Amino acid sequence: MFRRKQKKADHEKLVLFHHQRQGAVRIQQPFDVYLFFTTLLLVLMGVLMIFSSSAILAQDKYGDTYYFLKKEMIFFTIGLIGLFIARNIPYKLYAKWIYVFLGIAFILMFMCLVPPFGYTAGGASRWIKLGSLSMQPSEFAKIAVIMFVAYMVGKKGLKIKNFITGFLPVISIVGLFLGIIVLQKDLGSAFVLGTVIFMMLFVSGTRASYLVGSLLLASPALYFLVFSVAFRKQRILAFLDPWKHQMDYGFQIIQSFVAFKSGGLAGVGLGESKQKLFYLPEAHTDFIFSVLGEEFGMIGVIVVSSLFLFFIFRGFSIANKTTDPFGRFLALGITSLIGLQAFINFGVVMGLLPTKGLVLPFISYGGSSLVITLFAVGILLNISTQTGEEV
Amino acid sequence: MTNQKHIQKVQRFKIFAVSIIFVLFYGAIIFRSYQLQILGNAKISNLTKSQYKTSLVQSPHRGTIYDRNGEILALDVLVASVGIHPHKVKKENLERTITVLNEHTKVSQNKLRQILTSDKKFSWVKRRMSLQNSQALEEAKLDGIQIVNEYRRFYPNKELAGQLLGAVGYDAKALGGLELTYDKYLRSAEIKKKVERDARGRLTTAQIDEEKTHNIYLTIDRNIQAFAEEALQQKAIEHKVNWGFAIVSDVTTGEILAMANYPEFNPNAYWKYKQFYWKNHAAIDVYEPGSTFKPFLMAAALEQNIVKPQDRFFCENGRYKIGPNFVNDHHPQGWLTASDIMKVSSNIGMTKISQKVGRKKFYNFIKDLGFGKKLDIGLGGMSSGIVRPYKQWRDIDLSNISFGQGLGVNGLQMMNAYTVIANNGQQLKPYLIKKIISNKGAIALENKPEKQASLLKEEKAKQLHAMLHQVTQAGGTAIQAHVPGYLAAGKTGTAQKFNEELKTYAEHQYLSSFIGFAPLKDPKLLIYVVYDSPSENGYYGGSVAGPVFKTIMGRSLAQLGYIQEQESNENVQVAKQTGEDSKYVPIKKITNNKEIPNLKGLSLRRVMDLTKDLDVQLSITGSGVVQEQWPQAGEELNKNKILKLKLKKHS
Repeated sequence: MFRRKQKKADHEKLVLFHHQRQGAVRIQQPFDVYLFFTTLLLVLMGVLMIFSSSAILAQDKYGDTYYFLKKEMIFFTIGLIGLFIARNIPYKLYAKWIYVFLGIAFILMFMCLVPPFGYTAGGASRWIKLGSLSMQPSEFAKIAVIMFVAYMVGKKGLKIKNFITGFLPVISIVGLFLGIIVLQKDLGSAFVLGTVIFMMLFVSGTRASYLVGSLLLASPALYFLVFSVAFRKQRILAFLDPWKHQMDYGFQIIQSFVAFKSGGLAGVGLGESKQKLFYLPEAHTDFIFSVLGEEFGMIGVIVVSSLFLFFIFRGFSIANKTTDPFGRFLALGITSLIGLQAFINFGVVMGLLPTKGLVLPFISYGGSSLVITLFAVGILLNISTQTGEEV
Repeated sequence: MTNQKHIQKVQRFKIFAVSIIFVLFYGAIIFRSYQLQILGNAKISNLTKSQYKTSLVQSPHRGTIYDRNGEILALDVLVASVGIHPHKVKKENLERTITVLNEHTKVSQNKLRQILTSDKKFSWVKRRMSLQNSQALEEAKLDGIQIVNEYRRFYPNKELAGQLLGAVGYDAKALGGLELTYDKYLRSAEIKKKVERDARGRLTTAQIDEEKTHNIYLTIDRNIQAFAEEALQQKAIEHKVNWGFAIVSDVTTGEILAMANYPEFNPNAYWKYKQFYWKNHAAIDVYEPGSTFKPFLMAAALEQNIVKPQDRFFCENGRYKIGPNFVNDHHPQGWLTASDIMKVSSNIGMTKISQKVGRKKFYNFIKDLGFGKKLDIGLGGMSSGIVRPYKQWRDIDLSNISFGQGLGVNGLQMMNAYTVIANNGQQLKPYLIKKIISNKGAIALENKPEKQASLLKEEKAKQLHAMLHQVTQAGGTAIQAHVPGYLAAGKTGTAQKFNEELKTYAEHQYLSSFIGFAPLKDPKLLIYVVYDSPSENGYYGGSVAGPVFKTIMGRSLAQLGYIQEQESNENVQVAKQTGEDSKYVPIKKITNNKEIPNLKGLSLRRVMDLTKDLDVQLSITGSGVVQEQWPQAGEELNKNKILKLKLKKHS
């Protein structure tokens, strides 16, 4: 219903038009260096922490202390290249390819669930294996869905208030993707993406009744999803009373507490964490922030969360400055995605939220996440170069 | 456009609202960080402290116990204990872990499965296994396995001095005996090995405090202890006794050389023994000594010139009425000298003497000898015995005490008192611990011979020696206690046992004992042998305990290098009367007896040295150097393994 050929053609013209006009302006608008350097700082911090937290595991498992560090450096390089490419791609081009992206994302996501390609780890099937490489398409899908929503609300403007022509098409596509993510047993990602979309729709002016309505509709499903899957239920129980489950499901979180506690105010110093000595499972991925909290103390926690908060402010300010609705919502979506994911990761490792299996953007070890996140930052930077246009 | 601007304005406001939410979110994180990192909570703090420093108390170490010659009686050996952290064993490794553990520890698979599937944080799989097995296990590199090297107490001589030494349980915990009494010296101070470990239980850093233990040197002589135990056990079995003990001491120093108990107790396997077997009867039991007590009254009488050895007493033909009671002799006697009273052990005779000495003097004398007082020889848990004040003694009590009934003593008190007699009246402080030396070489405690009161004039002591020597001679009560080759003195005791339940003396329960010393001329060793309730093959102290005394004394004196005293004709006669060939001196029995060397021209001492390791018995006639030998040099020993030597003085 929303794929009306006429409208699409109109839009493409519009995009092209904007693009041509902005081509001249772009040079005058430097990209947001604050955002760039904040990102760089966070990634470098991540590299440091990955080395610190994985060295012993790497030695133990692969006989190479630098195993994870080397891989991370490769991803960092790829991600950085991606960032610069994205910075130079006029973001409005994405609008043109939005359905292609969605299609690719859908296919990749679907492949995760099909045996020859997808594989399961830790009860979740969110990876595709291609030879020795494995990737997590949901990282890509999240960006694609955010792009789509930004595109839709940007195109429709206030028409988003209309249920049939505005809200329903958006929520259907979003729902489809959330559904697949849930099927991959990646409830954390679904939760993050859902919340980001919710924020975007809230900002766009979608009627509150639609939002509340869809929330109400989703909640029984959410409840069912949480309490029907054994490992999720255990995680929730462990979250509610970690001490009771100290030796099993609460083990991680208690060990995380211990890490923070031993870190204290100033930390035990870089490389001095004891919790990473196998007390903290996934010390270099999901629980990397605990090691950071142990080695750099509360000061480290404040610095890193301030960097993220600063990142969010810069991202939102790009959104604010951007007059183009697509750019604005894209900036809003990407920023919220990174900011929210970081918050949830913090919340999990500090015992404020149940365990989700979400990595900490920029900092945690993980190829797909880093490359895609850096690419997304590139998009943000590109948007930042094109805010000068006065309408 | 205005509309557009309005929308943008509204959206900017909403974005601002979203940023506020993010600020709140991140604020919560920082607050939480403050809560976790600065405030903390007791549970987390405890875990933080405890989890790396799992305060593996390092298996404490114990010092070594040596005998007087530096022979090891108890030492620590390194063994390995294997424990497991079940939650660290991954499911996929469970079967392999069980198989490997089963192979190396021999713990059953079912038991292992039970341990591994329990929700305990840690449990021992096998303690005290050999280091070789633990090494193999270590090489298997299984997750969750923890191997701790710890010390185990080992008693190389097994039962030897078992009750005296006591035993040591897990974690170097003393369970009894000297191990317990001297625990504070032997056991290293509680060392908490400050170990930091990762979650897989591997050590990351370790800091071990220096330990401090002490080694203890006892006055015990391992060989004499072995002689005592061997002889004690042999007769104990023959007479089916309830329990028994033998104590050997050096009367010139007060050192305890052996303290043997029956039935035997092997501290290496302490868990197999009931409480009864742990008991060091020689030190703990309090009993009525019987006739072995008589010499004390005689000593008091001689010392105070109340009685002379030749004084005669009428022994009432075996039945003597004291008030409503009667005192009886086993063998009725008429007139006897004091010496003969001792020799035949007449109760009535002793009663008569006690009446001459009087309660007060007798009481004071036995008090001076140490009865009724706690005796500290360096061994815990000793009783003071029971001696009622003399003012409470009725006539019959005085009579009873004169022959060793109606009072309670322990074995070491008897040793202590007899030392006075044997050592010519000079009292010595008895002791068991020679010295205690820290592992750094510092002397923590050292005992040396310590003279105490002189209770008898030497002349009087010698008179008593002569009387006691007669006991082992023809017509005495303990001719079986005669030590071939040496002159000995001693006294038998066959005390009726008081039955606590029936409140009367039991008809056929006796405490049979013999106490004596040798060589007579210059006493060296004092030996006390006591058996409780011999039930077969006789029960008289002379026939039950006497032979044990003889064996221990003979072997011990030889061990100490005492050359046999010249035998008088009288002695040979005695030997003939008792049907024993007195000339057989038991020699340490060991191995090869195929070829006998040429012994001609050698001194007896030299011969004893040479044949010390052979399983032979020497039959010696004459004195001086070897003149003839049977079998001849190069020949094999005959069946009864007797080597006959004829000695002649150097001309």
